[in-house]
Amino acid sequence: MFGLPSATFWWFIPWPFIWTALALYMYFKMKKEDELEGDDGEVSGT
Amino acid sequence: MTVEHIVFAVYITVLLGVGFYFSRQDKSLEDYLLGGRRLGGAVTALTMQATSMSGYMFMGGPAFTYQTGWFGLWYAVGDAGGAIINLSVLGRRMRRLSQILGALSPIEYLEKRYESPAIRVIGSLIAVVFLSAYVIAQFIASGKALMTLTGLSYEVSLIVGVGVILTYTVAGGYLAVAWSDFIQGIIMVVGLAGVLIVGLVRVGGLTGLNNALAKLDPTYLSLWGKGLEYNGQWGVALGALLIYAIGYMGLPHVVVRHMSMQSPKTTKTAILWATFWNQLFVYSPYVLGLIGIVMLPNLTDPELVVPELAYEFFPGFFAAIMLSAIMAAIMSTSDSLLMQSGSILARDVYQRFINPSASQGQMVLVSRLLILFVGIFGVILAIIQPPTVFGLVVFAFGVLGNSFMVPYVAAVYWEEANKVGAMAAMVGGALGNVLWTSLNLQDVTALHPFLAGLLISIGCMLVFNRFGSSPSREVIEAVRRAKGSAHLVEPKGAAAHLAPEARAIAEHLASREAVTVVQAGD
Repeated sequence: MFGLPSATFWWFIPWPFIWTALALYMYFKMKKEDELEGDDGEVSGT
Repeated sequence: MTVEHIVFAVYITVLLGVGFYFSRQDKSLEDYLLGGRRLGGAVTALTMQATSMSGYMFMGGPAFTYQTGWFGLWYAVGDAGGAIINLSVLGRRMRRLSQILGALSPIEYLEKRYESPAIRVIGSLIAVVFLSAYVIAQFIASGKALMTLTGLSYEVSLIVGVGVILTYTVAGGYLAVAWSDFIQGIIMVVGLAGVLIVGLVRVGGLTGLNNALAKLDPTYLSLWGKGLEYNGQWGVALGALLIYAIGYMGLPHVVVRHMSMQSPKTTKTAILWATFWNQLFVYSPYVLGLIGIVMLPNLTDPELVVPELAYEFFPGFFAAIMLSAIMAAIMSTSDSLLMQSGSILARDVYQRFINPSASQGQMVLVSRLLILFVGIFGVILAIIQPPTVFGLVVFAFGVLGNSFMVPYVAAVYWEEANKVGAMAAMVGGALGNVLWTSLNLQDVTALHPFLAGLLISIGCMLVFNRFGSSPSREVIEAVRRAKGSAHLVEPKGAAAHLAPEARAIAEHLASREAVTVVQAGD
């Protein structure tokens, strides 16, 4: 696996996929919350 | 004048143009310090990431993998997710709460959330000292990079590089910083990707690179560094991963990006942009450090591995693009650090304690003068005592992260978090990191200074919060509003069928409960 020892491979190589999956999950989670909130998510200052 | 000089001169001219264009748009203090809170997702993401990724990424990071091998990637894997964590945890809530509280600087935000001027004083002190240390590291990197391009002395290169940064930052304020960061973020990815692709082709891809490293020393490929220096030290590895995965939540010049977003809803788009940019950018400098071990085995200064590789692969036009990318990383961080140091001194010290009745025009002028002052002070220190970029960045970053991360997170997730807990977390975290680093306790405990500071900061928050009174009802209500209506608890069971009557009763009982808590605290 790219000439790496297996421990190094499994600790480092999957991270780009993990972060991308997490970002997509957060995007759709927030999109759903934004739709639920409508304009309530906006705030006015004091 | 060579082609490198021409390309670089065009790049500098564009940056100065951005500064002068936005200098005419700053009409109020909110415009100058937060860009009028009107930045969209792409600009928010790229200004956040270009700010986060400093000269360290082109100098300190590659030098570290050049010296330790794959162990350096512990920093990269955390860094690649730092923006996702930062935006997901703080983004929307901090954007809402900062506007509800009317805070224009991240330190003012802490004072208003925790209702304590003392927090603003201590917070300003920690922020200005360590943001300045951070900016000195960037100035040193700027001097080294320009010296490589121009052949001028370190001192002259330093003054030229910093002069450009100061000019557009002082003139254009936050909007100039954000938009120049956006441009610089694109240049950074393009420049680095070019060198990485050519480098990998030259060494036979990732497999060829690793085979070559194994021939030199098989421990370069291990999880624990060359010569297995950190063998089994999970506390060090975890600290290296966490420092850039969660540490950004404690950096005032980074979290201010939440406050300047157009709307809380901007967060979700910013997450996607930041993630896409990070996965293209963050691993590259560390892998280039590994390529340097194979291609440039006799470097006297490992921090110059990326510029040297750029000249090796791309003489002429592309080397200038690459050098512009290095300068982009340095400038995009330096401008934000200067902007924050100046903002904190102007808003949190001058206006808060010296001249509370200062007009908008006076405040913009004072902000500009203080940014200039911090910049000149940083240049003098960078000339007098140039330490290594890596050491200084990790230290300043760690102390800032340990000081502010726990108070920022608790501010929006823990309604009962109070000023005593926040102050203890801030001071305890900073002192923990400083002691761990200065006494070299990592060698004794096998615990990274960032991880030690984080544990101390969390512990102080939990213990000392018991000794403070509850926040006021207004602050508790503001924190609830900052969570957003999607997070409000919906009535369940029989109560759900009575809504909206049940909801009205529940809200009434909740408000009475809050009043009781405040009275008990008094």
